[in-house]
Amino acid sequence: MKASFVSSSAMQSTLRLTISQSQTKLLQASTEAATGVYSDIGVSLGSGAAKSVNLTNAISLTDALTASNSIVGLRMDASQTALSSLKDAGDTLVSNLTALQAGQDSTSVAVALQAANDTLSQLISTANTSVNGEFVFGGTNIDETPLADQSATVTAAISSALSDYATSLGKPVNELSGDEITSFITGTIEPMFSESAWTDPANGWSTASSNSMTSRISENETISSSTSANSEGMRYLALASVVISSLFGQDLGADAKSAVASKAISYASQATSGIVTQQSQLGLSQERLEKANDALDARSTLYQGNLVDLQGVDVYEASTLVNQLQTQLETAYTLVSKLQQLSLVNYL
Amino acid sequence: MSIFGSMKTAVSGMSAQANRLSTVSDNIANANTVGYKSVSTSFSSLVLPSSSGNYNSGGVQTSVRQAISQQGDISYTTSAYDLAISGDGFFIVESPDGTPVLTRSGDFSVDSSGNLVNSAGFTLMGYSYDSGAPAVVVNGFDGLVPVNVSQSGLSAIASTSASFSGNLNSAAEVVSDTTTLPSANSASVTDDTKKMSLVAYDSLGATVQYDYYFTKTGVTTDANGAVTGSTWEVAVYRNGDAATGSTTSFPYSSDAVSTATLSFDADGKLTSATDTDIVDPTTGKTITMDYSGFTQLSSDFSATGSADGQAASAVSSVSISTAGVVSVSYANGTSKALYQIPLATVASPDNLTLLSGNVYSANGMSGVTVTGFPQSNGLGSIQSGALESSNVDLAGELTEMIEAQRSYTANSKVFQTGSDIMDVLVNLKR
Amino acid sequence: MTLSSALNSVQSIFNTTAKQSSIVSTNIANVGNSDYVRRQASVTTSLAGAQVVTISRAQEDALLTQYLQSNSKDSAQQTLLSGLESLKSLVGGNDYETSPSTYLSAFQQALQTFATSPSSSITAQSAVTAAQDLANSLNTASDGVQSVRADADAEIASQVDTLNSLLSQFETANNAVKAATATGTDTSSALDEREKLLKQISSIVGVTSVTRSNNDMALYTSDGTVLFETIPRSVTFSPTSTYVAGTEGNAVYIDGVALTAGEGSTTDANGSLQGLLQLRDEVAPTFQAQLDEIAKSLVQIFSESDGTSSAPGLFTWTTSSGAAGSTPAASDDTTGIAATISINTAVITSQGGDAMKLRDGNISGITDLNSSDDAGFTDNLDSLYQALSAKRDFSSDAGLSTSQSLMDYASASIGWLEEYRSGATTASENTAAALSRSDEAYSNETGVNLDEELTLLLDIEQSYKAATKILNVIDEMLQSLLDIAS
Repeated sequence: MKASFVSSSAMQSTLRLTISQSQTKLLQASTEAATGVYSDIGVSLGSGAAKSVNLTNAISLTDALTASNSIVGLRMDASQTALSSLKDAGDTLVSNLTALQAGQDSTSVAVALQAANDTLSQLISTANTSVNGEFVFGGTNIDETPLADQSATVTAAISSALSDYATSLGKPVNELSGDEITSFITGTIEPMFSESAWTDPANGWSTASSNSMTSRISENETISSSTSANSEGMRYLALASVVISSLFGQDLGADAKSAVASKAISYASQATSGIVTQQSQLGLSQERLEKANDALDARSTLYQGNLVDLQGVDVYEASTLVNQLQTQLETAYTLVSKLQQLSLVNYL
Repeated sequence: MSIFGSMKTAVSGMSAQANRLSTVSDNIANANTVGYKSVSTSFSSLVLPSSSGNYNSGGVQTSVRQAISQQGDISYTTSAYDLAISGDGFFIVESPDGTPVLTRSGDFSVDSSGNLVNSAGFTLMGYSYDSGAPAVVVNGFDGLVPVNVSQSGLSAIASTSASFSGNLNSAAEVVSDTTTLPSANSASVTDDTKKMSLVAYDSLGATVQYDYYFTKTGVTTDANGAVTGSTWEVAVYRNGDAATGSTTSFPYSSDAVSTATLSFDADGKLTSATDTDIVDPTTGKTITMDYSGFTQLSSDFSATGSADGQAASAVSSVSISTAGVVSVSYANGTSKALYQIPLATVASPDNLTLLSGNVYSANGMSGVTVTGFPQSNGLGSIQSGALESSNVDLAGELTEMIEAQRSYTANSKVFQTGSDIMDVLVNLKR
Repeated sequence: MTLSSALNSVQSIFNTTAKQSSIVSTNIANVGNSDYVRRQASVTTSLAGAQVVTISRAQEDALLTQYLQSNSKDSAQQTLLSGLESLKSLVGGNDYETSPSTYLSAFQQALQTFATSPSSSITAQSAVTAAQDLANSLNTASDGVQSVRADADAEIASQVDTLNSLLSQFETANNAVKAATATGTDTSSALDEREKLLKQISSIVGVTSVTRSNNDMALYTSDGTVLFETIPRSVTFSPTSTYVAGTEGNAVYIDGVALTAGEGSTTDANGSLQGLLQLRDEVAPTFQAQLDEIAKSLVQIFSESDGTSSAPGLFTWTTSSGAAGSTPAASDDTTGIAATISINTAVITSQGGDAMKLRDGNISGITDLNSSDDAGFTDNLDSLYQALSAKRDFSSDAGLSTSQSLMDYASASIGWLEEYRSGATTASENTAAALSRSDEAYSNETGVNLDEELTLLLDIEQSYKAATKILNVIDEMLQSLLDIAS
């Protein structure tokens, strides 16, 4: 006869199982309480682990974009600073030349020549600004020094062209009229500062590329983040300086000289407005960069929040669970020792 | 005369008590003998003629009784050859000189030639199963042979019938291309075939494995397209002929040993099974297959089967049943009957002649022996692993002994008194 | 009846108490033995009035069947789960540090940094290094997956050996049970032995048992294939020692029928063999296919084309025959590309290459996108960066969505693995609980309770003492008779 009962091994193994399971759960709960994340994200989220990975990647990508944006911003800031100094140089040249337009005594001429030389050298040095090893005015050709001073060559070419021109007109150089000089300037000198002549590989001024650098500032936005030394503003600034430095050194009549001066002034103002245009274009890019940075920050915060929602565990809940499990374990231990004593063996 | 008479009476009384004492001593001496039946004495008076004035004392006559029909206690032992009879009947044993006698002591053990011999040296006799179930010879000892349990030989039984039952999945695909059926024995057997296997035995007792392939071959429909029946093919091959070295057992090196057709009705019940016999040319045996346990329902394949027959195996033990059948059990669990032990009885067992060795033989007063199998015709049953102890009651015998002693003393006192009186008479004449 | 028969009864009491106490002591000795079924000695009276001890065994076939089923299920589930854990360890811990997805994201960031400073050789080399890390992670993951398959194969081989030896032991035990049943002797130990083997077999392959005449047991697998019937059926398996992507392992044949692999994360496999087959033939190859798709897309994205022909650019690979691979077409079979993908030596500076070729797009030499050699040329880098996040087509064989970006595909691969593992973990907790419940139920029905055995022992002791008392009394009675007689 057998009444239904519990076998001794079943009693012991039940408690054994409870203890080992509680210990495993305690380990998990402690990890979660300490880190605030699921102890095993894959098991808890399943296919949501893909989302978690995507979010983590997106956050680090956002951080990387923010870091690269600072480099781009630096480049653009440097370009802006350089351009504003160039603009100032252009303004200075204009004001100096305006005085020259009125009277061409030797002092003003000397001052004008000096101004032209200064402007030219400022142009060259500014255009060759380099930040982080890149020439910011090189366009995409940031390895090579953008501008080389070809004023000497050009001046010599202009001199010989002028004498040829004068010869073709049958006049000596110093008898050229203002109109003739003006047409000489527009016909001969100005083409020397066209973009193709400017970038001529043999004896052009600039090795910069006319394409500006494109940089990615956010997930789906790229901006052109540099400007080139082949822009109209720079060319015309150089043109204005060279016109002054090459022609004022020649022996020209007063009429011609004032024509030269006024042409130079117009070139210089064109240059200034060209530089301003360059600046405003760059400024647009800078504004887009700032906006992109703000958007990146906002998105990064959003992603972090999403990630915490996805992976996070309520730390308080986890610590409460830890306490609960500890109590459970202690109860199990007490029961084990009590049950072992509850045996007839001790009473026989 | 009367004095001498009383002395003679006392002497006869003393000799009667002496008889009684000798039966008591015999009983006490055999108190632990297996199958011993106690003897007792009973007295009857012997009367001499006397007249009204003279009393002639007679004597005592002793008659010895045997309590042969009284059952002794059964005690259990560990030997399977210790037999005890519970109820009426005697074992028929053969004395060393060849005559059959009866006994109740069943403490048999196997001797050097394998016969069952009891402690007194008598061999147990029984009917052999060599020619089938034996018939008992009622009034004699003909046909009895010594029971011999030394079976040193192995034995094997070939399979003659097997049965297979289970369920064939009604949703199985119908294979109509006969070249891909298993019965075609080509290597291109499709996956719609279900394989099972069964182990049978050949005449040498070796195991032969047969592979069964169940394939649905056809479905019959009526005019409306409803299914009215289906047919299945069962192709059976010898597993020993399977192709080796590839992932499929096809093609087998010999043809199918059976290609049966099972037909089921619309309810999934088996309606007919044709060509079911397995004719195996290698073993030379034919096995009758019984497929009647198969159904065709919409459930997974399942099948269980068994074949009869027995592998060659050695004898593991001998057992004796309550009906007296001596059978051997083989190591693989099957058993075979060898002998049947009959019991004999007489009309009056208490009058049997006791011979030494605890055996009895029939005489005129006991009646002729009637032989029968245990548990038939009022005969008792045989208990294996038990012994019938003697039916001597020690306490009773000791009481008898004390009584006998007191009576003997009393009788001797009478004798002494008689002799004293004679002495007085003789001394009257000096 | 008589004093002598009283003595006889006393003798039989001693016999029966001896047998009972031996049963009780066997029970007590096996209190902790889970393979032992409790036996009970019951005393009955035979025809002749003597007492006989019959030994009965607390057999519970229904609970045993349930235990065997839950044992097979749990064994299969745990095997699958441990295989999935090894696959998971290939991609790292909670942050998936070593997964191709993490390295892909780092590579994309390195490309972005390079595009921001395209003239800097530091950023160029960092980009190339990040690409090398990515290729290495794909190689390592692919090798890891194949070694998981090879381990599963070796485990299958050893378990098939174990199964074969268990089946031959089962044959011996089964014969012992048949012999004991036929001769009518005590079958308890033989039945215990057979049950123990049955439990061990059920953890390797799911079994159902059918008892035939004479307590003969036949075993069938859960598909219905004959596993053991009078003699064990052959279980064969030819192991494959080396696994590369695309290697097909051999099947396990039981009695000539191939064992099917399990399916699903809550696997329907019974027994660890089916779980290992599922791991080797379904889970690992799918993961390998996903890695191959990632590698193939990388080679395709970074291939350079001059308009008519294309050649692999930054990422190159070798085919299974060892030749350098060309740009794979969408329908090409590129199994194993993840194991051989590597960086073109033309960009590795330590091997004489130039990292700037990545910017210029002339790694393979058939085209040069930066013909003017501008150091600030970012178009190629930007288009490569975008291509990593642009939608592409993937093969559906790898089990993931066929139209998504490469970055999403890489993280979806992790998601697929984790979904599988999460399902398997939950299922394994369930099967473990079910197993412990059925184990407990079976043990409660068939196990030994120490206290009950000790109480029985007390009873036996009492009857023994009573018997000795009777013996004393009979002895005194006989003694008093003898005293009278002397």
